[in-house]
Amino acid sequence: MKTTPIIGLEVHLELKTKSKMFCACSAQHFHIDPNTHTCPVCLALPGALPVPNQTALDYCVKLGLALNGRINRHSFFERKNYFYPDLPKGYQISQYQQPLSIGGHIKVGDRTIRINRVHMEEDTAKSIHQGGYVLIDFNRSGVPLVEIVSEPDLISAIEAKKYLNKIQQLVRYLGISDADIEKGSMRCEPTVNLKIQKDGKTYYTPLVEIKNVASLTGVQNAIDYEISRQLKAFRKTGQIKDDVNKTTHGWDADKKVTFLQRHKEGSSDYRYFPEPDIPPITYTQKQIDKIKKTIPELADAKIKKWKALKLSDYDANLLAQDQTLADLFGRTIKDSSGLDFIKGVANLINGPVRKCKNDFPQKSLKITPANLVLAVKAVLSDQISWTTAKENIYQSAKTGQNVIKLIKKKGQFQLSDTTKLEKIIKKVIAGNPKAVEDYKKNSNTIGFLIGQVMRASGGSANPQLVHQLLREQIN
Amino acid sequence: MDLNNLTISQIRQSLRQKKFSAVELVNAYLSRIKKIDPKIKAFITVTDSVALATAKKLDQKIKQGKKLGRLAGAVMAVKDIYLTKGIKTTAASQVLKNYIPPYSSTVYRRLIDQDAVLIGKTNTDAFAFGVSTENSGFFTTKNPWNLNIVPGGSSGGSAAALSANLCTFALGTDTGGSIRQPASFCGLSGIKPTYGRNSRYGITAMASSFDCPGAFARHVNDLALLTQVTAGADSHDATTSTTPVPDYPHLLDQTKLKSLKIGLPREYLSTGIDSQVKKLVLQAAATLKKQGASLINISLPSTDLSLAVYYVLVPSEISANMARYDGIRFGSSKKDTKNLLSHYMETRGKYMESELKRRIIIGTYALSAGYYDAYYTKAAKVRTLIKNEFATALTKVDVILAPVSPTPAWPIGEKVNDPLKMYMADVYTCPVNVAGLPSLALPCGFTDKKLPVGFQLIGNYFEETKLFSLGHQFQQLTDYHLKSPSL
Amino acid sequence: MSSLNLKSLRHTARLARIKLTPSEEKVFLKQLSSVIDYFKILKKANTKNIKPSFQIIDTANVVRQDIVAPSLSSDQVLATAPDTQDGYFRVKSPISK
Repeated sequence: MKTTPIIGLEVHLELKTKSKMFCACSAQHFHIDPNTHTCPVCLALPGALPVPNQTALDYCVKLGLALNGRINRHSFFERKNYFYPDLPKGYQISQYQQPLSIGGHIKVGDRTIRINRVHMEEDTAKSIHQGGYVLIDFNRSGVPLVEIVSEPDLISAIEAKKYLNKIQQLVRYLGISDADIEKGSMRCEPTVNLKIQKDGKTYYTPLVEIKNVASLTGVQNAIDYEISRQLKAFRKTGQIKDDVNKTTHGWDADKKVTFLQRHKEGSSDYRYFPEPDIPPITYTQKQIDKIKKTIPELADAKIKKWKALKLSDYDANLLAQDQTLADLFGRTIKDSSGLDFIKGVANLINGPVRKCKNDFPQKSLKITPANLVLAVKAVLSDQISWTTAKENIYQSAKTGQNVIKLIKKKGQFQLSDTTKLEKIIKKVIAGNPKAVEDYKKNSNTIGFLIGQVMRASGGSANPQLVHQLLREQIN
Repeated sequence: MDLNNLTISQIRQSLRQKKFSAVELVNAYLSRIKKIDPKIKAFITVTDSVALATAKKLDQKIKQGKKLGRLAGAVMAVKDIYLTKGIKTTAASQVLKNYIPPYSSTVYRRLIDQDAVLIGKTNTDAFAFGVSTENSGFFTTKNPWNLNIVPGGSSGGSAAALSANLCTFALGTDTGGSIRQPASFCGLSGIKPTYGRNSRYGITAMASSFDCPGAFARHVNDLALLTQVTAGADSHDATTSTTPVPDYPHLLDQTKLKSLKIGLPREYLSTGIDSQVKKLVLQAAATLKKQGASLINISLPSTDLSLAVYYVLVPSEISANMARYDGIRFGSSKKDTKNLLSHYMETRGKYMESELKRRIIIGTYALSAGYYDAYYTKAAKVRTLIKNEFATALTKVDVILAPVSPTPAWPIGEKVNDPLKMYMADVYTCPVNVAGLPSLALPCGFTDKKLPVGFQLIGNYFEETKLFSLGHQFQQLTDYHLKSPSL
Repeated sequence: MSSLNLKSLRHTARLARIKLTPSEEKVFLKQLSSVIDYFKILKKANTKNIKPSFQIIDTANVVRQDIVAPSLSSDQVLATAPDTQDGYFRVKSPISK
């Protein structure tokens, strides 16, 4: 018996616009007092009407293009009708027949995963279940959402996770979404079934949509669990997929199981019809081309380029993860070559710069390519150690100060000029005959002499070089 | 000077000339309302303190010699589906019986900005679903011409208020005839502008691709002025048009009656129309012909399909537009329900009036799985046919003249148990909404039972100028619009 | 196009979240059946090659720029709510599993 998982992913992403999808309320809703960013439109008061956000639409087109999709020149919104307290109008304005982007694909590892569509919709309010009640905060109601629907091309839980990582990286590169699963700006719903080949026949198990996965690891675990659950179920009942037996399961992250959610009667009859309050959306080829030009060089292209420069797989991938840092790297190495230099810049960005960014997420990074160049060059010319470079680059990233000035102030420059050092050493040897004699008897006592040289050089001598030169001069 | 029977410009001029003050005018209306409204019950809310406060401010403005708004002192009655910030807005339904909205409708605000005075919110069929105002969740309004007869609907309260001279002008909405029909039943003029001419923002939505805010007045020149003030693009309503708004009040003489081609649609004037109504409508056509216009028979073959198109598409849009009335963020709410599902079912079941339920169910059915193509899509295709037929007819003629209602106003209670019969009342008005065209209703006489009868002039998209011009000239040849009921 | 029966009336009312009393069911079944039967008249229209009109306006691309405007205050917004708790709107939960 051969089992092949068939996995499709639906990803919802909150767009990073300033205002909501259909009204001018602020789209900020994280750590904001409840119901303070609402208006007649996003609260669905009587008489309120939606007006679409141009930037949100452009972001959706940008995403469609970056996924190699075909932009629908003529698209429109539709009403998806159902009742839930977090959906104030009793319908969600979404797209159905004519989404903004159709088709497309994205590379995950060596495989190509096809995209079915990318469309525009609005987010629901936040609801909290407490003591037999649902508490609702409409700050999130109406925030722009794009939905990416993949074809069921994924074949394993781990591949699904990789796909999600790619999507996350892509939208962050495009600058259209933070794609933060913990904050809820990225949500995923896998749909899983199995292809089972047994005794020359092929069977497909019923489709299961999994909801409530709150992390990327959760997605992987939920899919793995569901695959084995479906296999067990098939072995027991032999039930196969038909037009009406698709079910929704919730993922319980504590018990690590999926469970059948109660069937909501008629819940799948959304009675879609075209949104009469919003005229259609059209994009000319010129407008599409203009948006295409705003797509930056994407991660895959960058990684390929850097590996060709002989940067390691690990370094290249890590650099590419964050678009700001990848961009910084690109700018810093553009006029220089030399593997040592490039590797040096990579190390500083992947090390202290990344750390500074993570330590102070609210602040803007103050690091400049110029400072990185200065630091790496200083290390490569033995003026400072890597430790010194890292420490001061971190500081420069935090405050914007010139890295050389910082090092000078702290006196961390290593004197590595052999001629200068030999002069100092000569003086020290001349001034400390007893210590020299002690060393000649026991080479372990060189520490005192090294210390004297360090003092004479104001602490900036390169200790290894001093040790070497002292030995040479004495012997 | 009868303070309760002046035009908008007469009021403005009189205020400037200090013939009377705004407060005096408002008090004249308030005392008449006190005397007359208990008989006809046009108002749900009389906004006396708001009206007097506005009037006082306006008198101050006059005293200080400041510039007055174009509607200064004009007293308006507003259909209670228009949201008025801080003032109870009920849509004449138990669902919103205590609702005080935090914002106002754009059309209302544009009128207030020109110094109009709100005197009260008028009765309507609940959420405007109806043709007689009998579907109101509170009470039935009486026709001032005969208190046993319906005023028409859904804007029956507005029409009755103006007809009884309880206001200078009134606001309504026309989705399938709800301005033109009550205007005709109450002897008034009413404008249903082109769809998208006036903003729908801040008016409870009935059918999003049909609803047209509009006004009632006795004189067409008042309607021209009102439309100029309210019309134009609104950034809050994506379906409003950016077509420039002409200076209607100064273009009333523009359309020449001589050589005007008036189309008479044969489907509107053959079977099913009351003989007296037909006679009066053809009389109106003859009046225009006397001035040099020619009457041309035209055909609108899909007329008999219009009602079905209307009653599939409108309830479909209604079913979605009414889903927000769930007793969670506002509105009436059933207490002590068992769980979420029963909260929805029981709240909506308890507070929604019957006609609301009927239309929501029809619409939900037409949109549901298995029926969508046969009903909704099919009706939308026939809508295109009807639209095209009007377009073709309007290449052959300059304007279409037609009756508004197949019958005169009927007795209260006569049709309440037969919704389908009620729906049939829209047969001559709803095709215009299906196509989105503008139409002006004008009084053209009385039946032998002394009930007013009206007719409509239908123009091409954004041809309100032509309609106002023709209507104004018709009113210079007739005096039906000057008649008031004796109350 | 089939006529409305009690089962489909109940199903539709539930989809629309409206509880009907038994007497309403009886009256509506009769009234709404006649309305829905009336729709059959649409069958006779020849709509081959006709595009549906979901709107009757000519415009497209009516959009707003991504600019923030002031929201209503939470006091204003909660003032009309039938039930609230700590600044949230409140309603009964669905049946818990």
